[in-house]
Amino acid sequence: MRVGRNLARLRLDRRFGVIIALFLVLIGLIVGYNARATAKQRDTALIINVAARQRALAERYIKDVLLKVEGYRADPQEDAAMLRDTAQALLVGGDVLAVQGADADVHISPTTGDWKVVAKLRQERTLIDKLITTGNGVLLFGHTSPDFDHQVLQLRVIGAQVSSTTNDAVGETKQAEASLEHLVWVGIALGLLGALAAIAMGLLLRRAGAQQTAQFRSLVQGASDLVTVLDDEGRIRYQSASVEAVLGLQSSDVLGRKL
Amino acid sequence: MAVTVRDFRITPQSTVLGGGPVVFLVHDRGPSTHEFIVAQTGLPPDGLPLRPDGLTIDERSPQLHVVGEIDQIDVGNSESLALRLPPGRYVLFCNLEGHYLGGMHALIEVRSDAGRP
Repeated sequence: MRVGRNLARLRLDRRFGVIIALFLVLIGLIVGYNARATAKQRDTALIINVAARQRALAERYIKDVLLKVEGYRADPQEDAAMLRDTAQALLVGGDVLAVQGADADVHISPTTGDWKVVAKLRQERTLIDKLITTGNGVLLFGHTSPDFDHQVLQLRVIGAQVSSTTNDAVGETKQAEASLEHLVWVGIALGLLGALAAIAMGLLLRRAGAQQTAQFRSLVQGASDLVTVLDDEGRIRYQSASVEAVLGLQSSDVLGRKL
Repeated sequence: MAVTVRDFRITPQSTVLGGGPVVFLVHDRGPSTHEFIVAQTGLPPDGLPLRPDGLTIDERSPQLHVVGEIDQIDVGNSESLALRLPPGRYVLFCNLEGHYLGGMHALIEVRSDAGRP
């Protein structure tokens, strides 16, 4: 009998252990998924922000090249360095400096996701190299080049291509992020499983409580010892059958009364 | 007719077609997303009228008649465009900023007698 009870308790303890472990795993997964989704959203927002800045930088570079050729004070080389560094950071990760204090320095994580985003960011970097090479040609020969007008047009065309490719990469990044929406559903499913695990745990606890009460009653009611249970205020809450048999006190008369 | 678009070229399988129904199967070899526009015109393929930005084609110009287009072909994808083309000269181009002037245009000719013995 005792062996059977012990086995039942062991089975109950094991079930508790399994449910608590499941609950903890689910909580861990929910936290992990949320952290991943949040980090991804942050990276996407950063890439979109930096890409927009890249378009503005490409336009400023072209403007500065033309101003410099006309003899005005401008620093296209600074723009070129920032364009190159940012293109590199967008592709492989790294720090991106603020553009003349207009915004904050940021750190971008490497692009490891969608191959289309990577392909477009690679193309952006290639086009920026081409833009700077063409700009250097314009700066070097200026109006003395017989091909000056054509070179300036080329500069503008490549600048437009940089802008278009950057827009394209941003669109692809947004699309890649949208495809992560399933993470939300995974989070909801995990949450529901967690709730089910909590309900199962509650039912088991209730069952364990009922079992313990039943065991107590059967133990006490069958014993010849006199057992009376009092509450904090000394009122009788329970008395064993032996009290009635030995002392003649009816349970209905004494329950709720102070001892 | 198979057409390949890539940064920054348009390559049709053939430059002369017979008149009537034609299906363009356009494959984007990337790395960028592209457009595919078919316009009937007597102008040379590299001399289409530009918008005031000087970088994109004025598709509403009376000098060309756009007969069909695919808005967006993503890298690695193929899209089809079915048209009925009367005989004439047609320019295929992509009108995303800087793409046409970067070289994304090709001329095809539709002849009533093309392909006939």
